[in-house]
Amino acid sequence: MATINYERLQGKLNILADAAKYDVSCSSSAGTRKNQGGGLGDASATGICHSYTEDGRCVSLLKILLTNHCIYDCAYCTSRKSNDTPRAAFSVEEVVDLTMQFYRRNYIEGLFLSSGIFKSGDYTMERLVEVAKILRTRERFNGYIHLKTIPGASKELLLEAGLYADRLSVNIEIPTKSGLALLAPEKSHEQLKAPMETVKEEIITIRESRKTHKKAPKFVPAGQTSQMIVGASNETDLQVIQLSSHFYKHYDLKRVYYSGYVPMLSDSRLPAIGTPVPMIRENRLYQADWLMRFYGFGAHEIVEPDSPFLDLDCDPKLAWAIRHRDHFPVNIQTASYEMIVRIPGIGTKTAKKIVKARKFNQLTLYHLKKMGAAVNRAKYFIATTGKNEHLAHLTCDNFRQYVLAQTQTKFKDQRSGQLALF
Amino acid sequence: MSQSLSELVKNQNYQLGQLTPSIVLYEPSFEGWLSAVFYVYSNHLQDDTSLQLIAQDCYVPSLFAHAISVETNANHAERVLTKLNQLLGRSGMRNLLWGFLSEKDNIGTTLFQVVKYAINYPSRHIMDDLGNLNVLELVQTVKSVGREKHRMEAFVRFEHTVEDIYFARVEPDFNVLPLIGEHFRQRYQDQHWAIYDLARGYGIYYNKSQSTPKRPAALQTITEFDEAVLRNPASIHSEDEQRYQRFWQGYFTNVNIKERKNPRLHKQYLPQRYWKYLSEKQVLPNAQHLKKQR
Repeated sequence: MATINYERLQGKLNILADAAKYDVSCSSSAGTRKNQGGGLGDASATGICHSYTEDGRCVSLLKILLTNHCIYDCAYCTSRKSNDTPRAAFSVEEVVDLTMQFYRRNYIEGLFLSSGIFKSGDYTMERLVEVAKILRTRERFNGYIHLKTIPGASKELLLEAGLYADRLSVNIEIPTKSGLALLAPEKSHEQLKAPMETVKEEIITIRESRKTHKKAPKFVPAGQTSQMIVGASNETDLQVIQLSSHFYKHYDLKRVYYSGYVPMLSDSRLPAIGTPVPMIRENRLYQADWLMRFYGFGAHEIVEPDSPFLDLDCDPKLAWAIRHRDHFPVNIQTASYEMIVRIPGIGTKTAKKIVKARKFNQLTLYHLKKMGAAVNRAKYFIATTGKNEHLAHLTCDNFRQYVLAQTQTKFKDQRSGQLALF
Repeated sequence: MSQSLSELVKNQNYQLGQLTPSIVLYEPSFEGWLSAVFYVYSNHLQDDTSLQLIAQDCYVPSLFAHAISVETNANHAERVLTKLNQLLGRSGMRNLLWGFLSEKDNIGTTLFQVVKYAINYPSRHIMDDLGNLNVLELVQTVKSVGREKHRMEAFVRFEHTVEDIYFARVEPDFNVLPLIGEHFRQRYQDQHWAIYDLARGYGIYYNKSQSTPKRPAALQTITEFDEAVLRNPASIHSEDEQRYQRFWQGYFTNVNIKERKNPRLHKQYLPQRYWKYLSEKQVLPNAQHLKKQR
């Protein structure tokens, strides 16, 4: 085993953590790996955020790059070849040691390992796989491992990676082909989708064989994910959401992440340094994503072609409800679950509580509030057995302005500054 | 009301002229509370609308209330437990126990009211009746306890000691050590570890040497711990411990995106009361080891 230079390791860790921080994924959920007895770690199905950065993001995994040396020169990436930034590379043993020691102290759920590309896709991918293999076999590590697949890596390496990793992901980078061609001329959507296709096919193959052979190996049990940067090129939300919907349907992705572009590089193709990060837009995209995955909304319902951007003033479900007032009010005593979750201010958990509790009682707005509904929004859309005077507004011409004026948004302060962007 | 009063008069335990004993005190354990429930039913006090069940150590004596202390009785507790198991099933019992561990002042009474509802309506899934304010109160309390349990699973920071034990100090809002032990036992099978609750003065300890290849060791309870060490665990740190704390601090600082700074959200997710036990929060912002250098 190679020895570790601890003096230098601190500096490398700082550089390679910084370089990995724009990768959004931090989830450690959907892990099914169990401690086989005597080993270290046990992947928790719900995932655990062990800390939160000062920007409010979850720290669940040791998220680092193996190296930030890169042969590519993608405009949006801090590790791009032409950027003047300190470079570093971990050895395989250093990553293994940090993962084990951080895990032992309960700092993390596992490892998220990505990398710049040095020499070639395969040369880089081989090392990522080596880290995962040593953790699983020599160290008997059962925590979570998420590997980023490297563009251009061979199919054999992807398949081997999937045997040790809980999750694999491929970044689609820029949502539109034209945007990607402009900002990362060496990459294409076809090239980026190829590993996704490979992983999907293998997941299906293994899933089939597990039906007959219980001992068939597990392959990326937590599935695959992707992410795209929004706000670096001029894509619309309609394009972003349609692409996500396509991924969910055709590649069986567990999640698509959205990363509001943080301008830190000077380049005429990109928004200028100092341009605010499109945080509200990013948040709206996540809300839209949730509607597709958990609320039964289709992409076509969330953004419509005649206005291809999400409403920054209100969440997409409220926006949908305001556009489709003919569906309301919904009677919570009798309506289907599917319709109850479409009421603004009511989430899946509250909807389930309503369906249970209404067998015992005639529910009122007071009950809904106690169950955790955002009644300040929901009250305009709900019929209860009692009288609900808020319903009078539903048919008003200025309903939208009225509801927005009466409801709170955490983005109130930022709205004016942010809106001017789009 | 009149019915329960007449029952009282017949009961030998009460002296003549005494007011309704509206407060029943129990020894602060789940068995203690179960014994109190037994007492209430065997003395027919259950319909007294002013009845309160309070843990002995939470009770502040008052001139107007009369309090009866009930001793813990394993046999009585067992009988109540069996009955409640039948009525409420596993998930209902889990709600009672988690609610109990909240240690809220009024939780003994709330739990009792829920139990009474279950006894009065044995064929109902009473835990689903969130329109009932006692059930709702319990479910919300269970949610808070669950949140604290989850936070402790997240915010425990083990420190490696010279004795090769990974040691953590916590001060949870609720008494969640009984709930988190199994999580850590499954996860940390190949190291000795201990988690100590400073607020309640006890901890749990996992001794790896007592495990077998098939079965992790049982957890032990530890009660007496060196005060000086609890105040200053650095005194027993292993040689490596500081190094990995600094690595973690460097990592934590450098994954932050300054352009997205959001202190309010940060504090919402990572409440300040937990900071003193989080190693990543024990560092000056410009410390040398946080810098990006080769």
